[in-house]
Amino acid sequence: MAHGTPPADIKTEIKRQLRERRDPPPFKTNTRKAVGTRDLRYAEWPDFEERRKRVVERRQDVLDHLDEIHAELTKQWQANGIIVHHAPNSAIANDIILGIVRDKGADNVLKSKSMLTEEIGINDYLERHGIEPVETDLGEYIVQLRHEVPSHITMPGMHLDRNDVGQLFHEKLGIEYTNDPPTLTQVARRVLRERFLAAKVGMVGVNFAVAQTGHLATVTNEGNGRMVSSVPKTVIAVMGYERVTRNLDDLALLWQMLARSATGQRATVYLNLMHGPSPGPTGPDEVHVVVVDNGRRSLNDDPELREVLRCIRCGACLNACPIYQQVGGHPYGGTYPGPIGIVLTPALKGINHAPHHPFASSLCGACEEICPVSIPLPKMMLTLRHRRVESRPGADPEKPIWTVFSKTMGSRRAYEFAANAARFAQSAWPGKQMPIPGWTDHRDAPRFAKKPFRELWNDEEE
Amino acid sequence: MSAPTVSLFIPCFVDQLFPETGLATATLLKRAGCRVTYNREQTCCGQPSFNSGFQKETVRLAERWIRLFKDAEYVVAPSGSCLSMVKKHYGELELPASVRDDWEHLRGRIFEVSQFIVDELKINDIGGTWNGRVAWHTSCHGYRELGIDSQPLELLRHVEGIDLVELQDRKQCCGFGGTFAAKFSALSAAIGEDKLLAIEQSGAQTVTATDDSCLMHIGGMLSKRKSPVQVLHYARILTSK
Repeated sequence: MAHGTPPADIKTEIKRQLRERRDPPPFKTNTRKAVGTRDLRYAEWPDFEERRKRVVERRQDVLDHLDEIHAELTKQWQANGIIVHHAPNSAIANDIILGIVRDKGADNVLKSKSMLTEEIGINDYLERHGIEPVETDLGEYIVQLRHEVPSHITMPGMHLDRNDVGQLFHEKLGIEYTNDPPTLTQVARRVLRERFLAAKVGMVGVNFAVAQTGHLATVTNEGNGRMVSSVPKTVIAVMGYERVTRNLDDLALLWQMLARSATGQRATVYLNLMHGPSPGPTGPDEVHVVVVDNGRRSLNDDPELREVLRCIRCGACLNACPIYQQVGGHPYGGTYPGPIGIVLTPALKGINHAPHHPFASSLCGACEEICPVSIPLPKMMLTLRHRRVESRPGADPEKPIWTVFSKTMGSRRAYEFAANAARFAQSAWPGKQMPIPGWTDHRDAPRFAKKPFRELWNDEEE
Repeated sequence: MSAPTVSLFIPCFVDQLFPETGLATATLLKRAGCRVTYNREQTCCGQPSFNSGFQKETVRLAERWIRLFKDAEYVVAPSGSCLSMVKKHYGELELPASVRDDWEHLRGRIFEVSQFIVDELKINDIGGTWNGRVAWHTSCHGYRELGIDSQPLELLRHVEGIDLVELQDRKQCCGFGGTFAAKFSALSAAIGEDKLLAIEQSGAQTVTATDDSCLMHIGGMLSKRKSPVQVLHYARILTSK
């Protein structure tokens, strides 16, 4: 699966994953563990709902004033000595980044974890132009060594266990096999440390940019994020247009929510705040920020779907999702898996870019329930399903089914006639059970009652 | 409260496949002192077409449903899912203004049966006798969209002789999801397998819930695997003797 490519056919990929997954699949174990620690952490907050309301309000306020906040932010950035670039789409973002890297004469770029850089497909782009992207987040490093994309927003190697990592390091790094996590971490640390010291350009993601001060905030649990933004002399920060806060107080609020929702931590190990260039032994001489739109501004004008831009990429909805738990992130293709992915991908790129995505849900609502910014994901899935149908009027293969359904259910006589016909067909079916496509492969079919309620009710009233 | 009159909303598949659930619902409401009526003109609320993205096809069913029930004192149904459709999602349809008005006036009087008995009538013991272990599964739509979970549990706890247990991860989806069960059949069943595991671990002979739709999926999987465990709507447990 290449970076930044259109999502795969989710229906086929889900079936494949169900056939090929091992038992138990690591993503099932890992997601449940994540939900468990998340729940424990929130149990410490009796006022969780109040806090969530406040966070929702702060995120929504930002979306309601997005251009205005960006104007303030740009002024602050420039005052702080940051070079600002605006990229309307992936192609332009990639060109800007490549231009900076070439200008510095670098043949590699050190990266800290960033889903946006996955979205724009920068790794492939750099490789095609002879520049090596080096992932330094342990999880990202692991999936990069495997030539995979992350299967989770915050835990890229959600689909792997420590045996997989041991095997991978044994094969790719030539170390003796071990599945001991501390040993494996030390190996990665040693390999990456050498890369750090030689790097000319670092690239970081941005969780939030603070309009009041111009800070670029990056949340991590490994020291790599800080290394990437302080050791190389040139740092490129890549951020989505909507990832801004008005001030540091709002950042503190969001940070706590993000940590608790993502990993069940009260706070992450690092909250990196980059203010601008700081020439000297421990800082970059040059800081660039690339603000990527890629559909976000027009999505912000879409009244039915814009709330999805409140997302703070905690990944909790993936962990809580009964479907993600079964198949992990790879069947979703694209960049964003799980409930947020089946909404965000078609919301950003248009429904026909990922036509089956919004249907890959039982609409159970666990995602909305766990979401720290209360995004009404199931409702948006329904909106997108409707858009899919509307996008090809007359051509939707289900159209005749639902036309007949609507007409039949629109009349008592037609309904009773259809039900009686089905009842008769089932009773007259030779053999034990009438096969029902999509149902009887996995379940016995329910039997029609001898008499429906509407007839029994007569009997009972006497 | 003087004897309220309740108009039964019996979802189409309950009507045809699980009529005893409808009868049990009526029995419970009568026990609670209600007058119970049933209008045979009712068919389907339109949830299957709505969840498939066919809103126009759904509008005519919504209009029809609202017309049939708008004058009811109360509407009560034995299903959280169909109720979330008529109580919540009808608001997302493009309805004619007068129909929407009728719906706005009606929606506050629509209840799931245990919700009506416990929250509205303030009754927490409606009787029932049962012998054996019963495991409770929380149905997603009723719980997450309408807040139904504690009410049926409250009524079940008062059933004489019952050994009531909650399934592990009881609020985890069973994998049914309406048309999802057919469109993503293998996935739906994979999710169901985890539910079956929880059922097995519970040691229960019976699994119960607010929705016959979840139970139809769970029960169909159990029966296909020759499990002796039965599924039964909770209203039938409350009305058992």
